[in-house]
Order: sequence, then structure tokens, then C-alpha cells
Amino acid sequence: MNALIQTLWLVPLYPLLAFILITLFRGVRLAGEPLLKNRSLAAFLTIGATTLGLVHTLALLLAMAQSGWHLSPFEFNLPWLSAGPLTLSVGYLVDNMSAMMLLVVCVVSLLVQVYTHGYMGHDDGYAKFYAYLALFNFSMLGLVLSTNLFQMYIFWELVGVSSYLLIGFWFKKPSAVAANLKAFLINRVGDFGLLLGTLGLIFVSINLGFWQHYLPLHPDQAILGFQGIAQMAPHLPKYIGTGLAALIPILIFMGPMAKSAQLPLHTWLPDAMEGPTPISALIHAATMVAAGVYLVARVYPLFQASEAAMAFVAIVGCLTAVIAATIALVQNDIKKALAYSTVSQLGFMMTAMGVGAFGAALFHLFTHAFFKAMLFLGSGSVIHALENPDHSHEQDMRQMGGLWSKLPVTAWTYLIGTLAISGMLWTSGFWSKDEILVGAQNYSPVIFWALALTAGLTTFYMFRTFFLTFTGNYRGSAHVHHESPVMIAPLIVLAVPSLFIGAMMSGLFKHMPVFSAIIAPPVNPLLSHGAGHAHHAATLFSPVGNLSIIIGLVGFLLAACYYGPVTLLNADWIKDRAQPLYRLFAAKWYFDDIYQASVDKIWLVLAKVSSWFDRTFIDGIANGVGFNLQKTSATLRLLQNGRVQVYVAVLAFGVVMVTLLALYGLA
Amino acid sequence: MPDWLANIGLSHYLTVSFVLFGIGLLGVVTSRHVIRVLMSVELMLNAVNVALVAFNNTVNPNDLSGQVFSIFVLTISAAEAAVGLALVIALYRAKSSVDMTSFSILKG
Amino acid sequence: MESLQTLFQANYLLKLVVFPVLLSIFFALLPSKLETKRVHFWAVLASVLLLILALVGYLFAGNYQSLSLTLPWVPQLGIHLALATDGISQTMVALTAVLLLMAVVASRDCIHHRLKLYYSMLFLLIASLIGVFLARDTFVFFLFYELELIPMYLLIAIWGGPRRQFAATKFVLYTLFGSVFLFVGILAAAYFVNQTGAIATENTFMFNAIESVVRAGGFALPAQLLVFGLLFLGFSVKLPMVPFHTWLPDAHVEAPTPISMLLAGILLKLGAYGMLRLCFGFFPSASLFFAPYIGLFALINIIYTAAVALVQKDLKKLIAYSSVSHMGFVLLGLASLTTIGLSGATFVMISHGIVSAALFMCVGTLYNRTHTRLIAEYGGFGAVTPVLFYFFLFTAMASLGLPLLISFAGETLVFYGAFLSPAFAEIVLPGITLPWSIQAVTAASAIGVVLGAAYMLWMIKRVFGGALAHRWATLSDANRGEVFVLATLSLFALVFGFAPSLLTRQYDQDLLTISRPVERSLVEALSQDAHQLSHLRSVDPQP
Repeated sequence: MNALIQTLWLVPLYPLLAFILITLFRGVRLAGEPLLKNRSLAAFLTIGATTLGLVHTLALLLAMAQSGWHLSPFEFNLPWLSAGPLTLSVGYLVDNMSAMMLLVVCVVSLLVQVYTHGYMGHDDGYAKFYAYLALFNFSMLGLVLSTNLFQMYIFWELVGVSSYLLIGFWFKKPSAVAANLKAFLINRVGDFGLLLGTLGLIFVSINLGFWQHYLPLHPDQAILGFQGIAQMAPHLPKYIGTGLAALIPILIFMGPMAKSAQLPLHTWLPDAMEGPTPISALIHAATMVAAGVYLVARVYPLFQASEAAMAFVAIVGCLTAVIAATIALVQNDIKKALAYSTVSQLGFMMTAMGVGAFGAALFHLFTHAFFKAMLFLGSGSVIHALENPDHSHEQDMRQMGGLWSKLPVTAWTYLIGTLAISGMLWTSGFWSKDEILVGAQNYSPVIFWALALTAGLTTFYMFRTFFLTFTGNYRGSAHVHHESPVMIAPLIVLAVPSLFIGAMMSGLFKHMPVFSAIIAPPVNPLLSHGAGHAHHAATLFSPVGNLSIIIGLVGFLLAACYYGPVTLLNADWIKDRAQPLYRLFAAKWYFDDIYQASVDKIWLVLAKVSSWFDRTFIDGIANGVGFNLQKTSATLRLLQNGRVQVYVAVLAFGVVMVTLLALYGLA
Repeated sequence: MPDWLANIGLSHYLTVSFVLFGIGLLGVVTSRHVIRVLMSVELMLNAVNVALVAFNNTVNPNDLSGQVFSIFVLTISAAEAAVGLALVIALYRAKSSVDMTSFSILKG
Repeated sequence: MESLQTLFQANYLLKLVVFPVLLSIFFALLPSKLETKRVHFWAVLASVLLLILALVGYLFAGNYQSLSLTLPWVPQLGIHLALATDGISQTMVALTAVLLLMAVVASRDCIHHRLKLYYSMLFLLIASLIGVFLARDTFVFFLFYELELIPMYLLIAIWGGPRRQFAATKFVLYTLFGSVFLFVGILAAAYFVNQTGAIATENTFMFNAIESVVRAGGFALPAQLLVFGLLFLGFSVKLPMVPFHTWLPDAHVEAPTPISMLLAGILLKLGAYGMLRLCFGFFPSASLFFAPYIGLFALINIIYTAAVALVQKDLKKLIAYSSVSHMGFVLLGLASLTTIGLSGATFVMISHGIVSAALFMCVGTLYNRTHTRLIAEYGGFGAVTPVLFYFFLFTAMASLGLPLLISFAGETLVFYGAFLSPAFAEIVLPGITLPWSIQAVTAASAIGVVLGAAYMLWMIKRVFGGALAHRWATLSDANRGEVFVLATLSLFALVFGFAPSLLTRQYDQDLLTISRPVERSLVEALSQDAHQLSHLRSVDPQP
């Protein structure tokens, strides 16, 4: 147990090593030949690294389970950068939460990496892709194991750059390079807030003392360490006032808003679907985008200390859930529809955080990672199978249909995923989403009903994608290949947790751990009612559970009527009746247009004005001084005309004047 | 005989010298022909000679230093005339002209 | 090890300065019929030797005092050839030597005529740069500081682009403009030191003389402010600080690639180094007064030039403006008046040296192949120059402050140092008082992080992304020499990014001798006489 924990730093190190090795093998040439002749070696290294990490994680989880999940958090810090009294550390923190996240990251990574072998098998950048995957894995594992906010920021940016590299993997496509630029910049905006929040936090924590004696809160802990924050946070409002106590978590929340695609910084995620589909599954559905939720969970006491911050999170999350779901209703690109559903589900998680349902948020993160990864991989399987005559791959659902018979495994797993994300009975999504609804019910009826409505919308649009893709007649012109075994194996593996893991960890079974019990926020000494523990675990026959089943069924029936194998209702009819709404949804609530306009009309114009000012005024003055001096000199030099007689005349005149001056003085 | 003609003194010589110098200077400044400029320079030198001799006569008649100076000036002016004429010939060879206005290459 | 140390110890500092001068003479005297290839080879060899000599200095780490060298030069005027080194100086010297090697390797592809003169001037430039970093006498400092102009002028004016004469002249005139203030400042410092009578006349220009007089309170505050202001003004041209920055884009655009690398990599650091050692090192109390204004200018430097960089059409100009923007971080770190901030400023000096050299190398590599620098004419190069794409992207990431690459640590220290600093609560300008504390300035400067990503990655997108134009279809990728330069610089960026303490611990202790007094004066001003500073400002003895 101890050995397992003390060597846990190896887990992120394996993929880093794989990344370095692949990069070296790709880059170094011996006698003109790259060292990496057999490109499967790249896959082998990456998958091997992840497998090692997974084994380590599983062993750790087993040991933790044996100890009854009562392990006290283990933290190890290494000073990384120090100057004067400031020492910033990196290290790793092992507790139930990070162990769970490790499991998610390792499992999904491994499956996606196996899948990639099939999906990217014919791509020129196969080895590079695996290198980037390994880099992402390193960054994500480092993020999960972070001990402090500063380290979190480091890996936060690194996952961002992995995402940037992978979205722009096919850099010859203009849309891909536009999407990755957008993703990075929007994330930078979020990081800006995160940086300010971090600075503000360290500022107040230090200035609670005085300048000369600023030290880490506890000698063993890193500055900005999560455990230290948990101890300090409840006292903050008393010392710095509720305004600042709300401002700091809200600034920090800007980071998760960008990373987890919350309104209004969500627009990059749908565009990020330009990346290869395995990436969409791994980074932009299961792991990286959930990092925002994870960060909020890590600094949760800060949020708990401020009701305003909690409300902010809840409102942002709820709005995100609703708006993204409405946009997902009208998407025709299968990946875009899934992307908006991801945004919407992330909204669910954030709302859960905001309403105090801490365990539920992470539970949903946990289950969502499995079924959303599976859905994306399924969509990738569909896309990979549909090859257009020009060798591009079809993503438009209007060009699909009836693929059930051609891609049976994909269809089945996609159906399971759809059931799970819809929160249908017994699937894992049911349990986690239900907990969120219960939490929302305790918090505010408005948020509860909004989420309930969104749950219905989720069922509707997810079954819409399912029906459009897999049932009815084939509408497209692309050639349909068979499923590749290496690609469907991960789907089958993922189907298991998608179906069962929710129930297993919901408290139904005596011998299984209850998720929200083992993963709880740090105990807050100042709050008497332990928020997040209010709900009971089994919600199978509770009113909320019944309601969500009913809503889900309604959504399913509507989707079946409109898009099912036997079309009972005409979708165009309702589209025509609700034109303004349809236009609003199809235009994605105009977020992209507003941003584009603001960049074009405000920011770039400002930059151009600065540039013009720089050239015309600042440089103009500098050059003007020089040019005017030159001009003056050019005039003056005409006096020297080279005619000796003129000089003599001037000389004589001068002598006479001096003589006169000497004789008669100035008077 | 008017008074100013009866007593010829220093001021008279100096006036002559001044006028002579002025004429020479005017010649140097206004002439376009190089030889005329040289001749005007000679005129100026002679004006100085007149002044030197006159001063010698008035200030210290027993000492002939003024005369000696003027002899010096004469020798120098002879040398100067030789060099000057040689320069004029060189200039003429270079420019085919003896017009002063054509010698203004050294301008800014 | 021990014997190696003693072998080099004798006159090590003199060797460091004289060796490049000798190399310069050597290249001037080479037979003019020598093949081009040979000359390049000799230059590489020479710069490797110089690099080894510069790195030897680290053998003495912790024992730098034993190296100091003071020879009377003009005793009547109190001028000494005083050289010494410490962690900061030695690191700058090592950076100089590394970048020299990089520049020499890069020269192979860029410089094709008058090689003897070129290398002669290059080594003379390096000699003067090393001299600046080692000087411990203000007069000698100034001499080296000015000496660098001569080779730099020729290097731009002879081997530069089409408008090289204009750019070189502008560079020299601008720098001389700054030097006027610098020179007056140095003379004024010597004058005030002499006034006290505490120091023997033959020592008046020595660094430690000024320091000890200031510490003993022999420098009246108005005199400190005057000298600080003059010196700062002088250095701000070199840094460069807005509004004295417009020589930089011109000089960079016209300078050949290796010279751009040195210009951005080291020459700009002369300004930063001078500020750190002369302004802040000598006059801790005066720095207190100027901190708000420096903070304000830091903000302008970071944001304004980043915005200007965003819309540049010329790739090299974009990089040049990004340099100015990054030097703003140095200013911000200095304005924080804390050990953290000053350490960050020093770190940024070094990291920017490495990163900007790599960026200019990338631009040069592109230019050598395309003979254009207009971004609009590029596009889709990722397909034909994958290696260059890789390195350019890497360098751009390093430049925009990606964690675990070199710039990040410096910027982090600057941000943390400035945000945690109580340096100023408001900025008093003639007529108005801006309620901007250093925290507000820092927060606003952090927008530079977003802008930095914007101009770098947008550029990457336009150069490497998308479809390739037909005429570039046969473009060749980076050659071996270019890859060597880029890989070496990237390795530095990676190693010091991964383990920044490798770098900070080289200068940490020596920086304390500068930062401690600054920090102490700050704490004193805060605790003992909180109103003194504001009173001082209302009187406003603006030099």
C-alpha cells in the first residue's frame, strides 16, 4: 500500500517517457534513416505506458478498497521554483478523489489508444499522434495528482496545449487550424481568470499575516496547496469580506468555464470536433473537459465559503446545460451533436457543484466519462466506416441511416450509450443524473425544473442521433466499410461500465463502495449542515427518480415519433411552426457570431489603431526629428557655395563689422 | 593751399592705403577673371606696404623695420605671383577657363 | 577539477574580455584568399572556445570574489579597469557565449561576403557585451556599453536588408540619445560621490564606492532620484521601453538573422541588466519613488506592443514587437521591488534571450527559403517543412509562456512577485492620480498572456496551417545547421523550463545583494513613515 502510494509519481512519468522516446525516435536519424522505422513501436510505447499506469492505479484502488476507503490523504511536494520567501512546489496528492480520476483517465486513455490504432492506421501522422496522446496522458495525470493550485495551473495549460496540438492534427484543413487557435485562445482567457484568482488567493492568504512573515500556511504543505486551502477557506469571508471571498472563487472559476466549456466560454468545444475522433472521445468528452469540474472539486471549500460563488456556479452550469441542449437538438453533424451534449452534461456537473451536490457532480463526471467516450468512439466507428468517393469521411447524419445492419456492434453500444446519457432506468447515467436532480431540488425549484427539462431534451436529441444514424434507410452515397475489430473492442469494454458502474456505486449493493460517500468534500468546520450529503443514495423509487423516468420516456417517445424507423410525426412541421426558436438554436444562440464580430470589429480594430499610432506618432516623432534636422542642414549647406570671392566678401564684411564694434562698442 | 594739403601726415598715407586696399578688395571680390583677382591681391599687398612705410616714418623714423617688412612683403608677393600664375595655368588646363565662377566644386 | 580551477583562475576575467578581442583581431588578419567555408569553420571553433571559457566561470560559483580584478586606469579621474563576476554576470556571459555560437552557426547560411570583417566585428561585439556584464566601474561600464555600437552599426549596415543604412543609423542615433542621459547620470553619480568626501578620489567611479556611499546615507534623496532617473532613461532606450522602442522593429527587420538573434537575445538585456544593477542596485530608495511609473510603463509595454504585434504583416516585425512586450515583464518585475519580482525579471532576461534567439532563427530559416517576410504570402508550410514547423511551434509555445518551458517560470515569478508586492498603491501623474495599485497593474498585465498566445498562434496558423500555395511546393526543410541551432535552443528552453531552479540557483544568492536593500527600503517606507513617500510625491522633485 505504502509502496504503491510512494511510487505513484511513476504513473504520469510513464507516458512522459513514452512521449520523449517517440519524439526522439521520430526526430533522430541514423545514416538518413529515422530510428523509428516500425511505427507500431509508437503505439506500443504509448499503450504500454498507459497500461503500466492502469495496473498501478488498479492495484492502488484495490488496496484502498481493502482499507475501507478511509485512507488519509497522502501528499508529497518537491520545491520547483523558489525566489525569496516564495516557494512553488509540484508533487502528488493521493486521496479517493484523485484515485478515482486516475482510474477514469487510465481506462479511457487505454481504450482510446487501442482504438486509435484502427482509426489512425492509415494516417501519415500515426506515430506523431501517439506521441501527442502520450503527452496528453502525462499532462492529464499530472493535473489529477496536483497538490496545489499552482501545479494545477501548470498541467491545466499542458492539457490545453495537448488539446491544441491534437485538434490541429490535420493542420492542412483550414477549419482545423482555426478550431485549435480558437480553443487555445478561449482557454487562455479562462486561464487569465484562473491566474488572477490564484494570485488573489495567495495574496489574501499571505496578507492575513504581514509581508515580512509570509510563509506557507503549514510547513509540510505547498503554498496554495489544496489541503491548506480547505483549512483556510472557511475563515476567508470573515477576514476579507464577502465580496472578495466571492470574487476569488469566481475568478478561479473562469478557468473551469473555459476548460469545461461553460457559458459563455463554451464555443471552442464544438469546433474542437475538427480533431480526429479518438481525441474528441478522450480529451473533449471524457477527461480534459471534465478537469474543470475536478478543479472546482479540489478548491470546493473556497466556493462553499461564498454563497454568491456557489450561486454563480449553479446558474452558469444550469444555463449551459439548457442552452447547449437546445443547440444539440438541431445539429446535423453527429460529432457536433455529441459535442453539444457534452457541453450540456458538463453543465449538469457544474450545476451539481453549485447546488452543493459535490458527490453527485463527480459521480456524473465518472459515469459520463465512460458512456460519452463510448458514444464518441461509436460515432468515430460510423465515420470511419463511411468513406466518400473523395476519401473524406461522412459526418452528416442526414447522409446516414440504416447502419444498424452494417455496423451492429457499434449500433448496440451506441444504443447503450444513448440510454445511459438519457438516464434511462438502471444505466449508470440514471444514478448520477438522479443525484444531481435531487441536489438541485434541495437548492432551487427553478434550477431543478430547468435540469429536468434538459434531461428530457437530452433523451430527445440523443435518440434523434441514434435513429438518424442507425435506423431507417441508408440515405448517403458514401461507401460503407465493415467495423474494424480493434475499434469495436474498446466499445464493448466501455459498454460494461456504461451500463453497470452507476448502479454498482450508488449504494444498491452492500459490498460496493458508495461513490458519494467515499468522495466527499473536505469537512468544513464552520458549516453545520454537511452540504452534499443531504440526499439518500438509492433513488430508484423516489419521486425524483420517477419523474426523471417519465421525462426520459417522453423524450424517447417524441424522438421515436419524429425520427424513428416508422416516422409518425414530421420534424419539418414543427420546424416551420417554431421558426424563431429554430433559427436561434441553429445559430447556436449567436455566441460565435458575437465573438467573431467582437474580434473583428473591436479587438483587431484596437490593435490596428495601436499599430497605426505606433507607426505614425511614436515612430513619426522619432523619424521626424531626424528628417527635420536633415532638412535644416540641407538648407544651411547652401551657404557654402564654393565661390572663394563670396567667402572673401563675407570675411571682409565680418572684419569691418568687428572693427566697428571694437571702435564704437555696442552702443 | 588748403590746410589738409599743406601738412601731409600719417592720416593721408593711411587714407591712400585704405583706398588702395579697398580697391584691391573690391577687385578680388568682384573680378571674374583670375588674373584680375591676382592683380587685385597685389594691389592689396601694396596697400599694406604703404601703410607699413607710413607707420615706420611716423612711429619710429630711426628704425627701418617698416621698410624691411615691406621688402619682405614684396618678395613674398613676387613668390605668390609666381605660384598664383602657375595655379592659374593649372586651373586653365583643368577647366579650360579662367572665369572665377567656374571654380566652385568645393560647395556644400 | 581543482587544478582546472587554478589553471583558469589567473586573470580569468581579463581573459574573458581580451580573448574575444584577440579573436576579432585574428579574423581581421586572416589571409583574404581564405575559402568562405574555412572562415566559417574557424569562427565556429573560436566561439566554441569562448563558450568553454565562459562556462569555466561556473567552476568558481560560490567563490566569485576571488576573481575580481581592479587595475588603475586613469587614476587622476578615478577610473579603474574594474572587472568582477557573480551569478548574474556569469549567467549573462554564459548566455552571450551560447548565443554567439548559435549566431555563428546561423551565419553560415546568411552571410556570404566580407566574412573577415563580419567575424571580426562579431567578436568585437561579443567582447564589449562581456565587458558590460563584467564591469564594476561605471565609466568602464559606459565605455563597453558604447563600444558595442560600432560593431553593431557595421553589422547591420553592411550585411543587412535593403534599408540597412537607415535602420543602422536609426539604431545608433537612438542608442546615443539614451547614452547621453546615461553618461550624464554616471558623471552625476561620480560627482555626488566625490561631494561626500567619504571616498578617495581615485575610486569615484567604482560600483562599490557608489553603493557604500548610498548605504551610508551620503546621497541625498533628490540626488538619488536625479541619477536614478538619468540612468533609467538611458537604459530604457536599450530595453526598449515605450515610447523609445521604434528603433527595434526597424533594426530587426533589416539586420541579418544572426545579428537579430544577438540583438534580441543579448543587446536588449544590456538595458535590463543596467537597470537591475545600476538603477535598482545603487538606489533602493529612489526605486521606491519610481516604482509606480515603471509599473505603468511596464503595463504599456506589455499590452500596447502585444496589440501592435497582433496586426503586423511582417513576420520579423511581429517577433520584434513581441520582444518589446516581453521586456515589459522585466519592467514589471523590477517595479515590484521584491526579491521574487527581481528574480523573475532576471529569469525573463535569460529566458527571453533563448526564446527570442530561437524565434529569429525560425524566421531567418523561413526567409532564407522564401525571400519574403510577409505573413500573407506564407501558408500551409506545415506540409513541406515539418521540422521547422515543429521547432517554430515549440518556440512559439515557449514564448507564450507554456508551463514547463523556459518563459513560464520567469513570468510566474514576475506575476507572483508583483501581485504580492506592496510597492505602490496608486500612480501619481501630473494632474491626475490613477488609483492603480501594483495589483491592478499586474492583473491588467496578465492580459498580455492572452495576447501573447493570440499573436503567436495566429501567426503559426497563418504560416503553417491551411493549404500550400503552388510556388512553395518545392520548399526545403531546415538544414542541419539550422536544426542544430533550433534544437540546442529548444533543449535549453526545455531543461530550464522543466527545472527552473537549475537557473535560479545560479544567481539567487547574488541577486539578494540587490534585492534585499530594495526590499528593506520598501518595508521601512511602509512601516516607519507611511506618509513620507506620498509627501515626496506631492513635492515632486522630477529631475
